[in-house]
Amino acid sequence: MNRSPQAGPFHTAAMNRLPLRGAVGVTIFFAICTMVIDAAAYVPSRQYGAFELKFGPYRPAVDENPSLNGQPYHDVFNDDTMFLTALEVDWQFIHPPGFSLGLGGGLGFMQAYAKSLTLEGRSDADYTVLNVMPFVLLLVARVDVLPEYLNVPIVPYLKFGFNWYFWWVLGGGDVATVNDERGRGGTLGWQVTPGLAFQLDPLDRSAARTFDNEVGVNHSYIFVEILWAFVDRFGNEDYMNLSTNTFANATVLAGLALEF
Amino acid sequence: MKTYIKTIISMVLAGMVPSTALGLTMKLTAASGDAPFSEDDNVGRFNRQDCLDRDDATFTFSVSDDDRETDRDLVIYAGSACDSTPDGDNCNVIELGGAGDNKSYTISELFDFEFDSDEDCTGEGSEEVWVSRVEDWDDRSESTTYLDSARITIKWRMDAPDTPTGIEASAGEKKVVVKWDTEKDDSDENDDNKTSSDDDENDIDYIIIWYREGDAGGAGDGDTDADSDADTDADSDTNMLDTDTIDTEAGPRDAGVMNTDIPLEPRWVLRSTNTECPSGGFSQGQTYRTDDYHHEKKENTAEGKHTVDGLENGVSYKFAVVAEDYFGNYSEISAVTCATPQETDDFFEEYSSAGGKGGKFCFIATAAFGSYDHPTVRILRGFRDEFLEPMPGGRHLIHTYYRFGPAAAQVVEQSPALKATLSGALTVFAAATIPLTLLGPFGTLLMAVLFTGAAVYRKRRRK
Repeated sequence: MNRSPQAGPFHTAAMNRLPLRGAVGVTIFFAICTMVIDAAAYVPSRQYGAFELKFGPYRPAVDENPSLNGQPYHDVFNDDTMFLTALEVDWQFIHPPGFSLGLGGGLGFMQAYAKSLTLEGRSDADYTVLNVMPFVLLLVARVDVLPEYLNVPIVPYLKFGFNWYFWWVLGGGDVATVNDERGRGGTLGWQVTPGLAFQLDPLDRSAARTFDNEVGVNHSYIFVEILWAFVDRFGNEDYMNLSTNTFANATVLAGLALEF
Repeated sequence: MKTYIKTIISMVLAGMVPSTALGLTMKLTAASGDAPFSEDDNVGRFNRQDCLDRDDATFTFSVSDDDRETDRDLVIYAGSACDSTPDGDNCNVIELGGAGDNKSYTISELFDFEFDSDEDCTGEGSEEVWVSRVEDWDDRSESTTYLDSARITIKWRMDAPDTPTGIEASAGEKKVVVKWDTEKDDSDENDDNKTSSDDDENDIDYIIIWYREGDAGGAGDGDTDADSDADTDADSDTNMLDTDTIDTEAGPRDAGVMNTDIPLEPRWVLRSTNTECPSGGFSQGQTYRTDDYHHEKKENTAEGKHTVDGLENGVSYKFAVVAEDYFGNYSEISAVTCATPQETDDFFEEYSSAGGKGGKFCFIATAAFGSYDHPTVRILRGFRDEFLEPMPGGRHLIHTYYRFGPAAAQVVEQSPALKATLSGALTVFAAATIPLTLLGPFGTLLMAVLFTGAAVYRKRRRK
């Protein structure tokens, strides 16, 4: 082995490029030190749960009820798709490394609006509205392995639970009435929601840590989820069917989530 | 014979201004119930009809007993050129001295203005009346201090506001939506010199008037159903001159004031049915009279839209709009438009007619809370539908309730004490049912299992 006079027992030819290697090494060293110092300074706050604000289209399957002898939703609202706005709060009662299991509750609101029907067509003076307010109670499982251990900022999750959709119809500005029966009711159902959340923390880790230290928000996400909501009181035809019928019995919601 | 009414407006001088020792504040109050002047913030206003209907108006000044000081001169002066001193050109000093106890002046004394005059009852303007005290009027100089000055402003506007345009009517169920063009003066928003009072004076109210097919001459009291139905039956398909509804005594704004200046036109009423637009009532360009026709006022609105409710389906109505300015001047009646209210179907009607199911009724809770829409009643209905009904035996329980509920509700309704007790108990009960309702029987069972599991898990983990 050809060694220079100054070379020690472990010196190789490659080490002749010492100035470059040294610079790289020093940089890595300082980077690691910085990370260590940074990590040492940042103590994540305890994580209790999550808050979500989400939006998406929602077309209720009112006309899918087999007991109906017509298509009232189609006739009145022309199969319009509602716009669902929903809030959800989760309590993560089990949070082992890389995984969390939580109990979530939420509510939302959506509305369909149309001019009332007349014999000739539509009235310019009267309108009718179908308001729907979904309440949900969910079991939420989040897989945090990817961001926590592999630096991949993606969190898949699955939600399952029960829902109760409260609905009421307005006609002429007041709750509609037919034969002393008020146009309102509620339908129980269940739903399953798989989704993917994209963690925003890597975009600006410093800001994310500040957000945690000052506000207590551990992670921020944007997310997309598929909602299958079966809101027909488990097949009971005596209740309004408000199952999602937007895209082949499902719909897509997107929003912002904060873990705190 | 022409009847004139002198209206007295008292300006009561009271010691209410804190910045001066004997502060004077003018409060404008009506001496009788038929004050022709609207007044607020010491500003009196009158319009063309006020001007034409009266020969003059009288003001009475008085000073409260506490503020009378005989060793000072009371100065009353008037004119648009006056300010807080009476020395301006064209500032008319009316009177000096005295305690100012119930002194009366007419507008024609105060200003160069004549009522019941075609010449003066046009355009717009304003004048001011001031009251001040001075130590000694005869020895006054430029440095004389005028104590306790107070002012009242008299404003008038005689021109009619623009007649509304773009009238449209859309029929709904037992109602018609009337629309018209509005022109809000945007320049006010950019003019810092304008006061809120100036803004108010540019406000325009709109009066929506309507005539129902078959109405007697269009003179209305707002009742759109019973009276007019009777008229239709009695006089159907006849032409008649309806003179009963012409009030030859009533003035346009003030009941009991004779008004001989309004031309009284005979109103021919064509009584007919099955017409798209009824031919009776008012027509475009007529002078509006406040007590004529069915009318509703839409005050100072940027939105030219008003819904007339309580109409009858299948009956034709004629609509028009009249503008009223802040001074009470009316525009001519706008172009007319017609609409026939008709039955409409909302979504619940469509859903129900297709066989869809809706809500049910809580008799006792409604009796206790007085309303089917009370929040507690809503909660209890949800509990009945979502929790009780799916339970084993739930339907039987509900059926039993509906069998005896109405009778029990009658008892509750007749007893205030029972009502109060029951409403309190039901509120507590309703609160307890909320989680059960939201979860339903299956959800409640599932949640109970989950919570138990979570509690066991945590306990084991601590060990």
